[in-house]
Amino acid sequence: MLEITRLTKFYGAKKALDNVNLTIQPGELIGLFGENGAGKTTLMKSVLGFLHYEGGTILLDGEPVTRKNIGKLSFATSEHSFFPNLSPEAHGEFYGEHFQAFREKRFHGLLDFFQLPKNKPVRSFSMGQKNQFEVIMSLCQGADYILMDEPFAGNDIFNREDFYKVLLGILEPTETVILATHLIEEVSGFLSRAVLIHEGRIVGDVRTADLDEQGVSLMDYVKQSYHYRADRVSRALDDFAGEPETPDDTEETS
Amino acid sequence: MDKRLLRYLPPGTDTKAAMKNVIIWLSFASACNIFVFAYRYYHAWEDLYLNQIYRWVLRPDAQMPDFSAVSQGTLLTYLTSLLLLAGTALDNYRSFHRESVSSYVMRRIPDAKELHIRCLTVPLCAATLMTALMIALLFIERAVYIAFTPTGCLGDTSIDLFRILSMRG
Repeated sequence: MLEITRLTKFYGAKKALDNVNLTIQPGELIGLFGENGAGKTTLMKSVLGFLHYEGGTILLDGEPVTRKNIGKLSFATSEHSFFPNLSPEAHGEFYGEHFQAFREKRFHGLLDFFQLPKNKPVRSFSMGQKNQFEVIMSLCQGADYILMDEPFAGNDIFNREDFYKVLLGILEPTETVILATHLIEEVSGFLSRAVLIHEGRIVGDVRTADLDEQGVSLMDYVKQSYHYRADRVSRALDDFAGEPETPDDTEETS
Repeated sequence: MDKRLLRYLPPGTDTKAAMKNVIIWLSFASACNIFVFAYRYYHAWEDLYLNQIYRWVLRPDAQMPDFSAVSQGTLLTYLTSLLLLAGTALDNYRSFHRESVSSYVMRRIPDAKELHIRCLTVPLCAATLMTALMIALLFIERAVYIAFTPTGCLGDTSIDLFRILSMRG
């Protein structure tokens, strides 16, 4: 279980995370949603110990995250974290050597499925292939908690669809995925829980099964939680249209 | 060899190029050391003699400068190479932030020493090897100084590192 309690993180004077409380059970498939700058990445990097935080605690199966247990966490990021000069095959060897629970069979299966070249340096891959490889490594590290931060940015829809199916097919019941993404509608079908973050605070936390029971779509729930004003765009457009276009127009009207 | 060496370099480093660089630095620092010593020794030795057209005549007051004075400047390339090796170590750390943030993987590896082993081992080994080589050269050059300087003209043969490293004549 991953327990985040009263987590607070500042960037200078700006509060990036404000008293975040979140408990994640093994086997959950969680979508972490929020606008740009909401704190999704900061939350993930704090969990991974990449960022120093000012307040709160993060416990992984009852213990603070240290080198001893950090192998239980894997991370796929749109920044990419592979070794650009290494081939996928060499990545496999590196992970096998350093992560006890590395899933070699899954690794080769996924490389074959996505038809990624095994012996070319990853730097020579296309952006889509790099994203695929990044996600593959996070799925194969053998971690119990797989954190993904916008992993599909730049991949086409078919590719993403394939990945969602693969994800659902290969995950074991104890594997937990926390997926930060803007693609709410695409991922809503396979998530077990959605967590909404806004200005560093958790503003929504719901089980998708509960939403299904209520007949509310995840997108509607997100809009509702964010107090999204559907008429915002039309109002703005009306305002733009009502504005005088040139200084000459202004003079004429006045 | 390549495979074993890979463990001591950032993943994906060209081991042959890395070894070539180390060998080039070692050779360059040694060559410069030998050249500077040979040049300074020869001129000091030459000054012992009245150079006449067909024969060399030892000056009556001939006195060779001390070994440490003759050796001044021989370790400059060594010091430069040490700085370059320190730069290499820093560059190894920076390589984990180049084109991707692979430091995220290194920070998830259970062994905290792994990153430092991969960044520091080769520069430290090269620095150690270079230091040993420079010490050996210093003793060889001292032997040359003693062997080729005429008896009675020898200066102080002790090795004064501060003086050797100093730029003042």
